[in-house]
This record gives sequence, structure tokens and C-alpha cells, in this order.
Amino acid sequence: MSSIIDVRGLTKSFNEITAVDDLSFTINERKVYGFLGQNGAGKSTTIRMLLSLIRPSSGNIRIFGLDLATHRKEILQRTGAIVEKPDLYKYLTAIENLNCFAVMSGLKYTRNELLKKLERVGLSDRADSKIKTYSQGMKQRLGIAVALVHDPDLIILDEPMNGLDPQGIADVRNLINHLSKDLGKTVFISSHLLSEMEQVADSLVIIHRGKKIAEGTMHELLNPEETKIEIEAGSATELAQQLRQARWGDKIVAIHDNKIIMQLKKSDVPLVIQHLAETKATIYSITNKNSLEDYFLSVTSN
Amino acid sequence: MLSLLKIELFKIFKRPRTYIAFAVIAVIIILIQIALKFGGEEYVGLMLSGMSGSFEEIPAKDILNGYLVCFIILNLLLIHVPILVALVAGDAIAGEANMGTLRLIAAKPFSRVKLLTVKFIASVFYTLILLVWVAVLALFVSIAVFGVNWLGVPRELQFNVLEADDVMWRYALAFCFAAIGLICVAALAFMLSVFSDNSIGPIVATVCVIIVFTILTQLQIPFYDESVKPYLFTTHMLGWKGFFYVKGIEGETVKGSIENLPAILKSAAILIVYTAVFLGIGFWYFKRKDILS
Repeated sequence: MSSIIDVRGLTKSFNEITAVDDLSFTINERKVYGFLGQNGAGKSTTIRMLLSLIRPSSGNIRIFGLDLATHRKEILQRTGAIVEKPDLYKYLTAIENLNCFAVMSGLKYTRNELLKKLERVGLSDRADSKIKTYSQGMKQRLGIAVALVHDPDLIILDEPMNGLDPQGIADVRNLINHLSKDLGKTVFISSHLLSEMEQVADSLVIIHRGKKIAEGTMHELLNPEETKIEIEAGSATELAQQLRQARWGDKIVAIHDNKIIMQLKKSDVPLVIQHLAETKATIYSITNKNSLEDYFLSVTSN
Repeated sequence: MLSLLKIELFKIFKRPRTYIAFAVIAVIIILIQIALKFGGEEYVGLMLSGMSGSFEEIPAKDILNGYLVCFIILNLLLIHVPILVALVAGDAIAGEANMGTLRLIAAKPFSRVKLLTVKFIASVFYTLILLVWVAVLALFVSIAVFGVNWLGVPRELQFNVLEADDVMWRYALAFCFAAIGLICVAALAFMLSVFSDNSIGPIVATVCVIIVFTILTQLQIPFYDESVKPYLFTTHMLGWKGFFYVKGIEGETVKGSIENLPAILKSAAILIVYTAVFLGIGFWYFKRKDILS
């Protein structure tokens, strides 16, 4: 598997403030990479440097094996992006906007071809409406269509799910999966919606205050050997007592609101469930709490 | 390059704001034409009253014709058209930054130099279309409404009299010169546009520069005549009038002559140098600019 993006020692300072600090990571082809960080962590600055909108203070970016500083045009020909809000020309229609950006990418499409591209994001029926009449979600979907208009190999999406309703988020998620799994595209995506990232990303890069703090596959980062479960019981105190009398007392990490949170080896989970069944305690639910959100908060709070 | 230019022009002429300048020019010119149609003879009388010579013997209707009306309109208007040029040129980059589209187009596979070149050519195209619009309304409509006759060009206390068949080529050259002046203004607004992320800023800044420079150009203070005025581009933008100033021998004007062609060429060269400097600064800065909008 060859690397699509290779970032080494990337640093960007604005006067006294270092927005991105000695950042290095590698993105391999045909995968979906989540790029996570809190507000102000340096995600957008990094994405802007990947698109040559901002000059790095130091460091090196190679995309498709080419140096961005010297092969900008070749790289951008194969890259599509949304950076922050997908602002487009409000006084033009969707199809006119799409045509503008297609021409800017050196392509000429017929109206039917453009309509097909709009159909992919569910906007073909509003192709001739001006953007100023669009909802935020429709603008977001059109932004994705603009990013994909020249059929790029690498797609960089900065917060693509912002402003979308649940159906819109599901549509974008399906589109990202389709791009990666069916069309073999590489997708680099930043988002605050951690539950969504958990569903679409194969790997993650997490940055905090401009520095990388974690990188790896979702499988590696969420540590499948260890897991957290949350048990909702009729009486958490009584159940905790029963668990302590068995050998599970030291696995309890928190008790609140009739809920017990336990940290266990994955292989111990069936044993705990079996024990709970034998005690005949009142159990309403058992939930896996080993989420990306927990992991993200744990690494960024450190 | 050509396809990018087409897209740029498409974007400019799809914006309602673009047509404000055309509407403003039409309203002003038509108002002046209406005023001169109904009160023109009185206006000409006032104009002649301060002149030396026996102009009172000439019927005002002979003096008031399409050529003179056009000259009057250009005198009043060519100092204000730059403000309208700034509406589009000042918006070229800053407007994209303001809309949030600059980051999209700057991430497309062409260089920033190419992007700026296309945008400036589109601004120049708009400027020239605007000037053609002025020419059509001020010259051809005036000719249609007022007819043609000899042109009396007012110069301080005297008139240069140009025969009717000695005028049209002068207007052609005057409009070409005005184009150089307006392109210079477009370059100034364009340069300021590169520095800003909000289109109001460069438009207002350009208008302020033009107003201040025009006031300085028109100030009749000897100190400024040699120390400041020769270096202001607004001084040289008035060079178009030079095509209507003719050589005279024994009180008669020499047909086909231009009184001081080198001065006109010098003004044109200075405007071109200004344009090059404005563009040079704009390109230099934009190539290095971090696009944060």
C-alpha cells in the first residue's frame, strides 16, 4: 500500500503563535482517514497547507509521491477539497457553480454530465436554483459535488457534516464509504462528529495544540483488548456489592445514577454478563462504552 | 487561460452589482442631455460670457451640437467613472475572499499568477465595456439628438474651433487615452483588493485616493504645481483633453493638428508605469499571501 500524503516536520507560525508544530503523519491510499482535534488544534491550518493555501514555516509535504512546493499543479489536479464552510457563488445556480469549478479544473462537461454529478449528492432537481435559496445542508452537499467534480484521487473534507440533518449526515457517510470502498479514493476528513468518524474512518490522526498526539488504525487506537461497559441496574449500589463479592470489584471504575461503569479485558465481558444473569439482579441495559469520544477526550485532556 | 477568462467574465456579468455602473452612467448622461436640450442655449451663453472674442455673434444653436455635448459630458463624467471601475476591480480578489470562494479557487490546479492575470484581464474588459457604454451614450446619442457642427473647445478664456470633419478621430483617440487612465484606476483598485478580505475596503480606499488626488490636481496653488501634481496619476488622466487642443496660426486653428502631442504621450506613459507598479505590488504580495479567508 503506497502513501498518498506524507507530511514531515510541518510547522506553521503566525507571528508569535505556533498553529502547527512539527507535525508528521502518513496517509495511505484507498482509506478513509479521520483528522481529529479540538477547536484551534491546527486542523484547518494543516488542511490549508496541504492545499497550498498557506505556506508552511518549515517542513515538507509530499502528495502522490510529489513535493507540493514544486509540483503544486499536478497534485491539485488529483485533489478535491472542501475547506471549512463550502461557500460558493450565491448569485449563480448549482449547475453554474459546478460548471465554474469544473472549468477551473481544466474540464468541460455537458449539462447532462453535470446533472449526473449533482444527482450523486441529491441535488439534480434543484440544479437551476440559485445557491442563495439553498439550505445549509444543500450547500454542504453542493460543496461535496464541487470537490468531486474533477474525479480526484484524494478528497480532503474539512467538517463536511456541519449543518446537515441526520438524513444528510447519513447520506454523506454513505457517499464517503462509496468513494473509498467502491471507487478506491483516499479520503482525509476532519470532523467534530466523533460518532460519525467512528463509523467512516479506517484510521485516525489526532492533533492537540498543533502537535500530533495519536496516529493509527481505529482498531489499534481503541484498544480492543480493553473495553468499558456501562450497566444500568435497578439498584447500582446493590449490584456493585454483588460484583465486589465476586471477583469483579476492582474492575468497577465509576457508579452514578444507577449505572456502573466497568473496565474489563474483552474476554472477561461474557463472564461478567453470565455472572449478572446468575445473580438475577434487575438489569435494564449493558452498553459498550469504548467509544472514540472517550478515547479522544482521554488523549486530549492529558 | 481563455476558458478561465470566460468563467471570470461570466461571473462578473451575472452579478446584479455589475450593472449599477451602467445604470448610473446612463442616468447621468441622459440627465445632462435633457438639461442641455431644454436649457442648452442659456448654458452656452453663460459659457461664452467670460470668453475673449466676438462669440456673441454666433448663434448658440450652432455651438450647441452633439460634439460639444459629448465634450461637456466627458468633462463632467471622466473624473467619476473611475469610482464605478473600482466597484468591480476592487471586488476582484477581496470579493472572492469575502464570499469564501477564494480558498476554493486558489486550491485549483493553476498558479496564483494565472489567477490574478485572468482576474485583471476581466476587470480591464469590464472597464472597456463601461467606456464603450459612455462613448455610445455621450457621443452617438448626443450626435443623434443634437446633430453635428464645428466643435468649440473651451480653454480658460478662449475657444479652439475645430471643423466638424476634424473631430471624430480626436474622440477616438480621447477614448483610447481614457481607457489607459481607467485601466490605471482598475490596477489601483485591484492591488488594494489583493490586500483585503472585504470588498468594501478596496473600493472605498480607491475612491478616497481618487478624491484626494483629484482635489490636489485641481488646487491652484503654485507650490503643488511642480512638487506634487506632475506625480499624481489623476493629473495625467486629464490628458485626453490634449487631443482637442490644436495649433493655431494667426488666429486660425490648424486642421488635423495636436498642440502638444509629446505631453499627451508622456501622460500616457506615466499612467502605464503607474499601472505596472500597482500590478507588480499586487502580484508580488498575492504570490506570498496566506489565504486564511
